[in-house]
Amino acid sequence: MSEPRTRSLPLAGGFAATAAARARAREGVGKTKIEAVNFNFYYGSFKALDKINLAIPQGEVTALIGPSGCGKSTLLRAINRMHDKTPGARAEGLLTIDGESIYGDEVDPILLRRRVGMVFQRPNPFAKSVFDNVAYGLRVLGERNSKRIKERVEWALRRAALWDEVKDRLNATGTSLSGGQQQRLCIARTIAVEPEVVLMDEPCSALDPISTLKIEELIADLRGSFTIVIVTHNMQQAARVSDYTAFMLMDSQTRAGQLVEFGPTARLFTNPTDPRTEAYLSGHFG
Amino acid sequence: MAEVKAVPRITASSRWARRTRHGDVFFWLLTLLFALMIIGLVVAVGIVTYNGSAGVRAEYGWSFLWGTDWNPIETELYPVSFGAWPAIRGTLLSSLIALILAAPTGVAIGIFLSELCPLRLRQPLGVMVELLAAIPSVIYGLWGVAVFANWFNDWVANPIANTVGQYVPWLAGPVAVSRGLAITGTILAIMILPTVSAITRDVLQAVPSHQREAMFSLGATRWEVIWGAVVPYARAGIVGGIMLGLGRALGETMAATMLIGNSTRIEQSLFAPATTAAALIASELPNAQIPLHESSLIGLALALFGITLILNLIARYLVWQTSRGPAGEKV
Repeated sequence: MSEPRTRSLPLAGGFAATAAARARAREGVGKTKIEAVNFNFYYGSFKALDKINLAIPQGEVTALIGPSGCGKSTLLRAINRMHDKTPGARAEGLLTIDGESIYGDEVDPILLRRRVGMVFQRPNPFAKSVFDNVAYGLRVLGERNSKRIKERVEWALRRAALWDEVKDRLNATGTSLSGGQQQRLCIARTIAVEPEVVLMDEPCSALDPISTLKIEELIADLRGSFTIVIVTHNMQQAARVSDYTAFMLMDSQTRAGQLVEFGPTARLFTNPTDPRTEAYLSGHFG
Repeated sequence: MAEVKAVPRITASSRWARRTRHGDVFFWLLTLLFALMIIGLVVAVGIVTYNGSAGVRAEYGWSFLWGTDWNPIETELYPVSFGAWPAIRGTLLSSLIALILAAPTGVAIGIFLSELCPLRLRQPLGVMVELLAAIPSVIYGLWGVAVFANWFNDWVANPIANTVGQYVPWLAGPVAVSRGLAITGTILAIMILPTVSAITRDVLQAVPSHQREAMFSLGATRWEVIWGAVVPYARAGIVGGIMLGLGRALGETMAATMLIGNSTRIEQSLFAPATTAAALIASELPNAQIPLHESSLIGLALALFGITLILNLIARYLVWQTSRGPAGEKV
C-alpha cells in the first residue's frame, strides 16, 4: 500500500477529546456499525461460517452466543481480521464497518485494527510494567508526549475500574496482577487507544465469579462510548450485559456455523422466534 | 445389620517401608547420583587445573595472569618467561569480535525463522541452521585457511588497513597472510551463528501466540509486534543463546589454532597474528619440555576455566535481571 499510514489519534485534548468522542459515539447509537451480508468464512476447504447476515448497532453491546464450534469466535475475529496470519483462512461475501468492506483489497488491516480493538479469552498482558502495558499501544500509535501518555494511561485505567487497585504499583509487572486485574488491564490497554469497536472473546471464561462481575459492570459502563461485541459461553452473561444477541449454531451436516436468530436481547431471551433458540436457551442442548 | 467391610489401611509399618515400597526412592537416588556427578565433574576439573598449575603460581603468583611475555625456550634476546596475558587477550578479543558479528545476525536469523519465514521455507532453513551447528570445527578451520582467508584479506582486511587503518592503530597493517585475530573472530562468528539463531528461533517460537495477537489487535505492524512484544517476552532466552555461543567461541580450539597465527607477541593490530588460550594449550602442551612450561599451560587452562565461569555468571545475572520483570511468567 503506497498510502502513508495515518498515525494520528484524538489524543491532543486529553479528556476533553475523549468526552467529545464519547458524545459523537452517543449520537450515532443504534446506527449500524458492522454489517455482514452473506458472509462466509473458510479455513482451507472447511467452511466455518455460512451466509451470515447481521447488523451490529453502534454504541451498544451485542452478544454472540451458541454452543462450542458454532463459529462465534470465528465471526468475532473476522471483524478485525485476526485470521490474516492463519494459513488458509479466507473470507467471502461482505463484512463492513461504517459501510466500508473490511476485506476490501485496499484495506490496511493495521489501520482497521486501530479502530477495532480486541480483548482475549485469557488475560494476555505484555511482559512489561502495568503502566507500559497501557502506554504501549499509545506509543505504537506515535504518541511521544509523556505527559499526555500519563494522562491517557490514568484515564484508561480509571475507565477499566483498575486505577485504585494499581495506582501505587504502576511499575509492577502486568503479570503480577491477579487474573481479573490482568483482564481489566487488557481492557484498559484496548480502550486507551480509543477504538470505535471493542471485540471481546469470552473475556470472563478464565476468571472467578467476582472478577467476572467486575468485568460485566465495566462492559455496562463502556456501553455507549464503544460498540462492543462479546462472545460468551454463558447465556446469563449475555442476558445481563448485552442489548442485542445473536444466536449461532453449527449445521449438523456441513458443520458450518450459521446464524439462527438475531434480535434485542430482552426479546430473544423471552420470546425467541426460532424453536432451536428456545431449545438452547432452555438448556436442551449445547 | 449391614455387613461390616474391612477398611483398607492407608498406613505403612515403618518410615523405610513407606519410602521404598513403591520404588520411588530408587528412582530418586538414581537421578540424584547423576546430578551429583555434574558437581563432581566441575570440582574435579577445578582441582586438577589448580593443582597442575601449582608450579607456575609458585614462580609468578597472580601476576602470571597479566604477564606479557611468553617465552618457553631461552634465546639470546629473551629469557624463559611465562605470562598468560597474550593468550587471554587473544581469547577475549577473538570472542568479542565473534560476539559482535554473530549476536545481531544470529538474533535476526532467529527472528526471521520464527516470525517472518514463509511456512514452506521454515523447515528446510531450520534444518540447514542445525546442520551448520553440526559441522566439526576443523572443517571450519580448513575452509577458513583455504578459502575464506584469501577473500577476507582482499576484500576486508587490506581495504580497512589501507584506509581506516592509517589512522586507527588497532586496524592498521601489515595484514598477516591468512592469519590474525580479525579473521579468527570472523570464523568464530560463523561457527556460533547457528547456535545463536537456533536458540533464538526456539525461544521465540515458545512465546505464546496471545502475545502477538494482543499487539496485532492494537493496530501494531509486524515489526512492532516482534520488537515490542515477542522479543521482550523471550529476551532471557535470547541472552542465554548468545552466552552459549560466546562460551563456544571462548573455548574453540581447532579453528582458532589453524587461523590465529599462534604468535605470543602482543601486537596492537587486529590483523596481526596472535594466540588464544585454547590454541596455545593445544599447540604447546605436547611439546612442553620443562615442568614450568607444562604448569603454565595448565595455569592457562585454569584461567580459561575461570573466564568462562565468570562470563556464565554474568550471563545468569543478566538473565535474572531481565527476567525479573516478565519472561518467567509469574501469575
